[in-house]
Amino acid sequence: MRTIKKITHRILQLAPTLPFFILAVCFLVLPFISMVSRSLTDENTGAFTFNNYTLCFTKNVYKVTITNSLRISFIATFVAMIVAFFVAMAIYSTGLRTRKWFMPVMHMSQNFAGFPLSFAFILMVGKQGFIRLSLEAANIGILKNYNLMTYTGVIPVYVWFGIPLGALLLLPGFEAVKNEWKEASKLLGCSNVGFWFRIGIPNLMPTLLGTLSIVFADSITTYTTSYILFGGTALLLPIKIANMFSGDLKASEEVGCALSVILILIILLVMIICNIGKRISAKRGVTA
Amino acid sequence: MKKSNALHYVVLIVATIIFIAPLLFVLIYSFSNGWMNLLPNEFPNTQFWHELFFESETFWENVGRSIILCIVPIIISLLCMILAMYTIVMHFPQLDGIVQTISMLPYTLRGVVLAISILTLYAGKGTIFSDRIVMLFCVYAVIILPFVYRGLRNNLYAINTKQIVEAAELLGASGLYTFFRIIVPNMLTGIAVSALLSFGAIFTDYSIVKLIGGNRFETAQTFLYYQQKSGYGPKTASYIIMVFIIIFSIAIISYQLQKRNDKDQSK
Repeated sequence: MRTIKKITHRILQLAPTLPFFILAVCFLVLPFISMVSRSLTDENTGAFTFNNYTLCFTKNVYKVTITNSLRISFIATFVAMIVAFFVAMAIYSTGLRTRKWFMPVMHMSQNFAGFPLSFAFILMVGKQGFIRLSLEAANIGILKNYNLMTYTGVIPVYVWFGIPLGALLLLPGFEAVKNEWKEASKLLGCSNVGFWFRIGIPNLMPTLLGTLSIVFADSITTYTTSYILFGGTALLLPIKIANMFSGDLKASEEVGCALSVILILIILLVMIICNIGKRISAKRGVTA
Repeated sequence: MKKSNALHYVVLIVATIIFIAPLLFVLIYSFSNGWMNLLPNEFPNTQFWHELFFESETFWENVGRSIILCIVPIIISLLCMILAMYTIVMHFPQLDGIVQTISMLPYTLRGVVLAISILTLYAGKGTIFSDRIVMLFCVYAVIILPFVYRGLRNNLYAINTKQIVEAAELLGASGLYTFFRIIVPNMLTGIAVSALLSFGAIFTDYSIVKLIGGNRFETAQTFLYYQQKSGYGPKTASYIIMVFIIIFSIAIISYQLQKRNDKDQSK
């Protein structure tokens, strides 16, 4: 009798968590399960099949979409991470005063993504962009072969919004690199560059990898910025997926589900690889 | 040491220019009448700003709708999370891991994918979740879970919730009284920070509102979209700057609050 009372008491105590779990189950868990199961069913017969996935990797449209997204995101993430590394290092090395004026700049550019960003790029280097026209008028040809509205030309835009995100996430990692280490290594005859290669970067590795996976996920799921540049027919994963459900040409929703699952798997894969890398760098004993 | 510091300053100055330039150009453009050469035409020209403030009712209506669309999901999300986190901190600390995992899911199941999966599950089924507005509110409530979780969790642990409640009980305060008169007021900064961060995330969203709302629900972002579709003139630039000002002022307030919050907690 007492145990029953105790159990009901525990369950009653648990009651306030219900709204949260209902929200999470109805709008996260169930939709995800239904999407995965739909990606594995046949459009016409409703039977279990892997065909939707094979279609994603064999049909040209989907293949190009996946490679476009991967190529843009990988290149943009890589470049953005390198720049973000130096920016974060500069903020860290120059101390508090520069941080005071540079942090607002970072936050500002983070909030500028989406429509404003694509608009600004069109204004600057689009077909009628004033920088392009001024350069042409002055007979300087560096932008002659550059086209913003191509899957290569759009990479600078992705790099642009990747840098502030990367730098903001890297900063805490830099703060963990102690000044004492630098002084000690200097006393032992290590140069500045040598310090970063042998001590600084290995210690930053976990932060670097974690940041990389976030910047990558952010870049591969970007919708708004590229939507305005390419329109709804763009061959990029998020836009293609969205278009398969709301476009005028009603495409197979099952294949759309398969593409969504592939997008999630790509993000997860990068995350897992970064986590393994983190663990390896931690095992080597570089983190004090 | 001095020399390398100079290099760092160069990096920061170049970065600042690169990041400020697009914003500055759009701002200048909005005060001009076209920009095809090195210098904009007829600068300064306030005609488009005048139109924005005094003749563009649709724009302000859309901004208003955007704000409503932000507030309701934030309230839903905050309520669910406060109740859940409070119970967990008080009685079921072992469940914290589960709530954290769930709250971080939207990082992987991002905007478009989540919207699509919810759309295919509920659209046209005739349940309460099939209503597009309900759907939008709930999707946003889920999307902002990471911000809400982080803001509230730190706060609940920082104020030593358990000890406070036990002390209040010893002094004869009832559970509800303690919750509303002591716990919630102590969490206000955490709540405010989460709410403002979430506000930014929802206000800048276009993909979800487009997918779920279709053409039926117009927000500030859909307005910007149609403006850009109709042309890249200075008028569009003025709207873009206006929306950016709204978002950025919200962001500034939340960063200031956050800073104060961090300072309070480190004391």
